[in-house]
Amino acid sequence: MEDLKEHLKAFDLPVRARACYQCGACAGGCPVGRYRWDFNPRRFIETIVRGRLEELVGNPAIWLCSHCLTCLERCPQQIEVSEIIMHVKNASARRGLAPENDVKMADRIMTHGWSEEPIKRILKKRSQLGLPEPAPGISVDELEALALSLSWAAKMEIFKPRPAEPETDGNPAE
Amino acid sequence: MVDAARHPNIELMTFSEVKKCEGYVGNFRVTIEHKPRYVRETCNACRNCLDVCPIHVPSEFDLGLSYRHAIYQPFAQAVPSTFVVDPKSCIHCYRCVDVCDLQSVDFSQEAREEVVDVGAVILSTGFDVFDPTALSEYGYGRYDNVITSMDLERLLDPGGPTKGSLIKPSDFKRPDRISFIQCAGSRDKKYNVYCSGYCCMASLKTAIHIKEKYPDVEVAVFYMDIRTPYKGYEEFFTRARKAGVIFIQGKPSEIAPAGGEDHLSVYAEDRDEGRPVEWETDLVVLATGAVPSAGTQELSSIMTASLDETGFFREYHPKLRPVDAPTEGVFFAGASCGSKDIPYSVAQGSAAAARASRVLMKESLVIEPIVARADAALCRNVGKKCGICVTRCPFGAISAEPGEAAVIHSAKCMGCGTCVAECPTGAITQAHFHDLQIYAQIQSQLKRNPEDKILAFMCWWCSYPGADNAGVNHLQYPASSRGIRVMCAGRIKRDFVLEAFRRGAGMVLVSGCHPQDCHYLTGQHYAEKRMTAMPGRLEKMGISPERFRVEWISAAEGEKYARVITEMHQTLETLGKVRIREENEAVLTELDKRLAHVPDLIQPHSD
Repeated sequence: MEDLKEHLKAFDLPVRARACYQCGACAGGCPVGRYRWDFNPRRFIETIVRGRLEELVGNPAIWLCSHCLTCLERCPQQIEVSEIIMHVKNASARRGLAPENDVKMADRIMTHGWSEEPIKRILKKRSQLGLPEPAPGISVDELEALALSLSWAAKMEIFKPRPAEPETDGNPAE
Repeated sequence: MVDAARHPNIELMTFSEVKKCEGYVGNFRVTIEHKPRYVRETCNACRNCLDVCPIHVPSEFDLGLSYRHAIYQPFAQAVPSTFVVDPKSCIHCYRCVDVCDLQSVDFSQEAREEVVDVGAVILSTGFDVFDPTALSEYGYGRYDNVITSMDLERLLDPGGPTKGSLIKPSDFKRPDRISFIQCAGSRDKKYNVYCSGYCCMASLKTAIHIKEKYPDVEVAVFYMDIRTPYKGYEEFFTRARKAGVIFIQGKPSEIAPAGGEDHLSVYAEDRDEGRPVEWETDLVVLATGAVPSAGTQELSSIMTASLDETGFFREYHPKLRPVDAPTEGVFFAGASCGSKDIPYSVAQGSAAAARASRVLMKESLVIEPIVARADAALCRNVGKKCGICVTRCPFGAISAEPGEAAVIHSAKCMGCGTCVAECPTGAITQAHFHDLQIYAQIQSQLKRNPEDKILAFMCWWCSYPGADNAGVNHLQYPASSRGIRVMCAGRIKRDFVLEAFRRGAGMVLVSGCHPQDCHYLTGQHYAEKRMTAMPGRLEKMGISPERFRVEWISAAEGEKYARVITEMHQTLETLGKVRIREENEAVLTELDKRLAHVPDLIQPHSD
């Protein structure tokens, strides 16, 4: 968990998270939490403050965060909840715990320039309605150049699923 | 207020404003502006004028829930009970003049100023209620049925706009479900960081009141924490729970219209159940906290009473002198220096009266002799604009008119000496802590083997008692420290540190109270500002910066004092006598030049 600890520390996030009242304004306004009760930003912050990072990294629910920033807007202590979750997601991905669909989508963007490939049925429907061919995705070359300049490619590598590291084995959520 | 108005020793000046306050404790001269009422004192509130006044404007007292005329009585128990004309809404039809049997309405009245001499001043300017319009997620001002606790207070008042019957503002019907939202704008970094303290009890009181009056109405309270710390408060909370008030722990995130009619949904997390809830309700009451009353800023500059970071007046000491302003003879009562509930305000009001009477009862006051004096011949303000001392004094004791020498009012000076250290021409001196006295102490402390010694400058209230505390607790630390006690860290000049190094000191420590604990409010702040640049300057000269240290040590931190001295002693030994002597010799010429004004005050060591 040292990597995550350090990433969070670099942004002074754990100290700011300690100011949390546990008032639940984040959870009350969270559009995801409204449908999935296992996604509770307040609990995530509590887990961070208690120092049980491994519990959080192993929790698949963190991948539901849509980073809409409602939590930050409503938080009386201005804690960057979704910023923290982003770091947790990164740490989780580094351990090969990213959900399959997310990895696939990232792959599609890198290889085709599309997050979703248009399926045959859609293409057929479009031609029936007389709509033009869908615009091509972003140029893959351009994307690769961008990825390189942002050292994104390296990040993409770690995104690929791989066997879980031993430290995540003791995940109580499973 | 009626009692106060009737008291033979109390003169109430309502509708009046303090314009100027000069002088000092026991001898304040206050200029007060009496604003025109346009109605003479002879008015007996017969209400004839109300029947003829054609103007209707929202009533301030009823928070816009009812109307008043342009000639009106602010509220039923207003003192004095005379009416008043609001010049902003009056159209000057003069019907009230015609109808007044007592000829009381007088539009020729003008504002007049009065100067009064007083011995003490009590600031009891109260508070204003936070305006929750800024909380856009709660929709106050957007949804009719979102009101504040003050609005609800007016709705429940038997003398209020609805004669005490509870209604929803949208359709004037009784609500079936009411939700209270605590901490609306309080304990929030974006609005007010502080807890106003009274809103929990106010909401509990209103919730119980509603439950007793309308038992079938559902009352829910959304809260972060219910704060009921004083006598009988916790019991009141229990009473509210027993009365059937629903308490939901969770700060609501949003209020949105729910379906048809005028229902509202409160979105929050029910922390006890650990899940988000969508709570349908008819009326939402925002428990808004206190903010400094309008005009506090102006009054603070009139009274030279500083404000704290929340905008309320700053007490001399938050724990030990909560009733006193930094300026002697000025006191606080009620919410002027921070939000308070009724019992606390009453207690502080009585305390302020007692504090003020201590001043008034005496023929003359004895002040501390440790005050600063300014030498008009040396003051820079005569030639060009300076006034640094004026900005440094937290007590408003110094005045410097343009082109004239600064004047220090002894009765107002508390004797911290910050102005003495900050004066660029050395025009200000402090009695009992004259520069020469301190230089003499430095020289005498460093008379023998100076390179073995740690010269510690300590403030009177925190650091010196801190060192004392180390001794009282029998804490061991090297015997190399030598203390020089000044009133405040703000008194410690840069030259004192340089003089210590000129006299060959091994190490120098500057210590004072912790930030915000300074007994002279801002002395520590200026000391810190002054000393931050010091290590860099020393290094440039050729003195190792680790030989100079600044530490804030409180009176209870004997352990810290012992630790700091031990660490400094270790540094001293690591650097070694030889190196220190070499460094000191190398900078001697430069220091001699800089400190040419400091004479040798001690006979050189003879044996």
